Order: sequence, then C-alpha cells, then structure tokens
Amino acid sequence: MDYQYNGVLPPLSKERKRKRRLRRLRDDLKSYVFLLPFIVGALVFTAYPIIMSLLFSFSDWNGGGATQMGIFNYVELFTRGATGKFDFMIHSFGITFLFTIVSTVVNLVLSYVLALFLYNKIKGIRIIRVLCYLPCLIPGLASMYLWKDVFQYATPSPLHPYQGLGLFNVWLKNLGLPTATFFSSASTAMASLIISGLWNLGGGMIMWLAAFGNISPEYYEAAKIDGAGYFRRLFSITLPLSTPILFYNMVVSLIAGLQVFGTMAAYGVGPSDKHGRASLNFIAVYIYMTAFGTDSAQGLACAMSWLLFVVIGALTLIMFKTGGWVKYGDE
Amino acid sequence: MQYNNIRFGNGIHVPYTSAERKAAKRRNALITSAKYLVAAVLVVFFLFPYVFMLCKSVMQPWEVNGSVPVHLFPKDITFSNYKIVGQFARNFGNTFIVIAINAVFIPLSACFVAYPLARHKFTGKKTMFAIIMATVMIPTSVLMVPQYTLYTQFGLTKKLVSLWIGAFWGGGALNIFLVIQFMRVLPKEMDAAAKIDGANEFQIFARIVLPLCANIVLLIAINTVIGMWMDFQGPLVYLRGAPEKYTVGLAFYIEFNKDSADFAAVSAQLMSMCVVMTLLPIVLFMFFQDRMIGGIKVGGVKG
Repeated sequence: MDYQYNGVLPPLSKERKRKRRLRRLRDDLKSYVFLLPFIVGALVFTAYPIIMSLLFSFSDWNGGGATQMGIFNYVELFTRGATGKFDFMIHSFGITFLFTIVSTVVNLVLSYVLALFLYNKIKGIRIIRVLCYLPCLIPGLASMYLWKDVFQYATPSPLHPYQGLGLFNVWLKNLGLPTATFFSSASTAMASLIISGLWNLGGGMIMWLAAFGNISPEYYEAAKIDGAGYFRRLFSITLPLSTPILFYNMVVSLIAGLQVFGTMAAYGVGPSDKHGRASLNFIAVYIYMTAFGTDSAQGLACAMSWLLFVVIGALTLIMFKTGGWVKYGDE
Repeated sequence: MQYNNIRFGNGIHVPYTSAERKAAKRRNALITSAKYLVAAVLVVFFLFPYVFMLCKSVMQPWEVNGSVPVHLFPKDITFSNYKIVGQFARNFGNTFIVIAINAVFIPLSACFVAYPLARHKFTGKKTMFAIIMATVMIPTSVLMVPQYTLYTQFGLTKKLVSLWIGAFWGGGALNIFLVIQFMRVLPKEMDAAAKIDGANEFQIFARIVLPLCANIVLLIAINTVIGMWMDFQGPLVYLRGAPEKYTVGLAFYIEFNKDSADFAAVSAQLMSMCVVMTLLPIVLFMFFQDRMIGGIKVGGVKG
C-alpha cells in the first residue's frame, strides 16, 4: 500500500466528488418533489393572479375585456371630492383599521381577564369553560343574523311603541331607558359589531388557557418562595411567557381583521353617514362591491386590492421587525 | 407579608388558633361562593345566543311578526318553522361534497408539503419556508378578481369544483406551518431504520410519518369543516348565476336577504335555520373537544 492513514482523510478523488454531488442533488430533488404541489399551486393560483391583478389595475378591465391602459384607476383612487374615490377609500381603510385594532385589543384583553378567572380551580370549572366557549361554535353567518335580530331598531311611533324593536331594545324600554339605534345608524353600527363580538371571547380564552398551561409551574413556585404576590406573578411570569402565543394571534387577527367580509351578508354595507359613506363598508366589502356590483369595475377593484396588499405587507413586516418583545421560554 | 415572615421566616412553626382557622374557613367559603356567582353571570351571558336562537325558532308566527312586543321565551311552541330546512336539501348536499373533499385533501396535502420542511435538509429550505409563510399575508381580496377570471377561463365557475380545486396545493400556509411544528418533533429512528431496509422517501412518508400525524390531520380536517361549513365569500363569487349549485351558506344569505323589509316575519324560520347550522359544529366539538382545544397549543409554538 502506498497510502498510509495518518489521521487525515485522503482528498476525495474527482470521481467520488462527482458522485457525492450527484447524490446531494438527488436528495434535494426528492425534497422538491414533495414541495411540488405547493409550488404549482402557488404559481397558478397565487403568483399568476397577483400579476394579473397588477395588470388589471392599470386597465379598465370589466370582466370581459379592457379598452385602455394607464394609471387612471390610481388617479381616481387618489382624487378627492365627488370626481374621485379617495374619500370613500380612505373611509373604508379607516373603519377597517378601526375595527381591526379595537376588536383585536378588546378581545385579547377581555379574553385574558376571562381566562384568568376561568383558571381558578373550583369544582365544575371545565363545564363552565365549555359553556363560555359555546357561542364560538355558532357559524359566523348564523350569528350575525342572530345579532341583527337581537339588535333590531325602528323609529318609535306613538301608536305602536314596540313595533320593529328587537329584544335588547324592548328590554331597554321596559327598564325605562332610551332605545339604542345599534345597526340602524351610522354612528352606532361599528360599536354594535364590536359588542356582538364579545360573545366570541371564548376563542381567545381557550388560547390564553393553553398559554397558561404551557408555563412550567416551577416559575410560580420559585416566585412564591421569593414572596411575589398575585399581581407580581401575573406581570412578571404569566404575561411575558404568554407573548409567543399573543404574537401569533395578533398577526393572525390583524390579517383576518383587515379582510373582514362576512359582515356583508347580514348588515350589507351598513347605514350611511351624512357624507354618504357607509359605516360597515369594510375594504374587502368595498372591493367586492366595486368588482362584482353593478359597475363591474374590476380594474379599479384590483387597484384597491393592490393598495390593501401593500398596506398589509408593510404592517406584517413591521410586526415581525418589532417582535423583540416576544419572550420565548427557551432563551 | 410581614406577618408571614414572622410566623414562618425562621422555621419555627406556630400553630393557628381555632378562631383564626374558623375565620380563614369562612373567608374561603365566601370567596368560593363569589367565584360561583361570577361564573353564573358569565354562563348566563354566554348562553344567551343559544337561548335566544332556540326559543325564537319554536315561536308561533303571531309572536314574531311585530303584533306583540318581542320577548325571549315563547308563549306557544310550534316546530313548523323547521320545515324551511327541507327547502335547503340540495344546498346541504352541495356543501357536503365541498367540505368532504376539502377536509380530506387539505390536511393530506399539507402533510405532503410539510414533510421535507420538517424532516429533511436540502438546498433552499429556508427560502421555501419563507415563501410559504409569506403567502399568509396575501389578502383574499387581491386574488378575488383575477382568480375569478382564471376560473372563468378554465370553465370552473358555476361549478362546485371551484370550491375544492384549491385543496390539493398544500392546504394553505397556516396548515403547513401547523404540520411542520408537529412533524419535526416526531422521533427520527424509524425513518432511518426503514431507509436501511430499503424504503424510499415516499414509502417512509406514507407508511411511517403520515400515520403518526393522524392527530394533526384530524385537527386540520375539523377546522376545515367548521371553517367551510358556512363559508359564503367563495360561493358568492364563484357560483354566481348557478342556483342549483348553491351551498347552504350562500342559499341562506340569498333566502333571508331577498325581502329585507319583512325581516321580523321570517325571523323564526331564520333562527330555526341558525339552530340547524350550528348542529354540525356542536357535534364535532362534542366528539373532538380535547383535540380542538389542544390544537391551539401547537399553533403557538415558536416558528
């Protein structure tokens, strides 16, 4: 043998190097075979439509064809006053953000309080938790019609004081309180929508309970020995260690909130204010109405959805870049 | 705090007096009953939609049409409102086809796509993961118009296929993410053993990894069923002008919006439909309660 092993591996021969590279390639290819459905799906059902959408947004596409191209859709969207759509679009963006932020914060905070209470170890707590969760099982479509019914309002007439009033307004009247307009007035529609969301706190509650359950009890024992009180333990252990699940849910509910569309079924675009801007004309509803309403202004709708796309992208990026407050237990 | 330290701080155990013990007992009993009182208020609050829905669904027409003030509990019970469900028979059939295909293939294709990302090392893995996660933030409304155009070109609109064609391409980023989290902590010894025995990647996936993923497959399937059960955005866009293909959600929307002036008169039928639509989620929840609640934990794991 002319070669003696001295602790250093022999340099790979060209042949073996080539073989190794081939094997590597083959293994990579195998992985990509599994990813193929996603790649095909993403190209056909996501990438292609996104590019099409961008093209449509520079045309007067109406579903059948287009006659001209240009930036006129964007010009229309950014023109103020009666000739443009700027005021309506900003209003839609505004109420969408308002709804997203308020309902996310209200739901996270209140469901947190609810979960803290339901974390008590009293007899029958499991049943109580399930009962609090039950409203989340009513399909969104059904529950919106339900709240529409409960919150019904009609302008009072002296002859039939109860005519057209829903259950809550009848109760208010019986208690001698003034009736509320709820979904029938531009100023109260949004608040009513957020209030009706309170019955879905159970979903957030379950999430928080799962987060509490993930925290190792050793932290609490150590803190108790050090003399930390209930609130100190809450703010120094429970809350920081719940941040990963909080972050995940914030991102998900932000994206879901900005796309809220289902309200259209029961409430339509909501009552209009004195400028003619509908109070529940969320951006996704507005886009749908523009594209598939009487105008079939699909090019304009695409321009709007691209603006929404850019906004959501920027927000997601900001959330991930500023995610430093998320504390993972293993760091 | 000070008091506690004096009592126990130096390790000397001072027994409670019987008066102290009694006071503590009384205080505990008071706290417990206060807790049950709060719990009772919560339960009444959260059960309200169910009580309202069930009660209204059995009311007589004269109770709901505005001739008497609206009330919670029915004065006279009838089940004739539930007859309206029969009108939706065909729509229920359509919905079942759509959710059955989606509930099978969304979790399966999510597992398929997640498999290399969870268990292999390969060139471009990080990039692929980033691309998949980036698709989460694409709003459905950006895709609404061009996808509709695309489906029209392929001749998929006005057909149920438009509602399940999307199930085969990975089942959505959030589902893929869930499966990756679940799959990557499964033990890897069996894969290696099977590889030595000459199994190829597809056999390892189908025979070893997939059966171990039964729990997450079931969870995603349940979430899919509940999510699509009353979906109306997709059907509203893609099934326009094909009434015989309408799913329950869309048919429900059209039925109860056609005459909005007389909302009160149809409200009893409306509520009986709501009760029927809630049955499926309730039944699923009764059977899979622990899985559905446990699944949230998986979602919160670090990415």
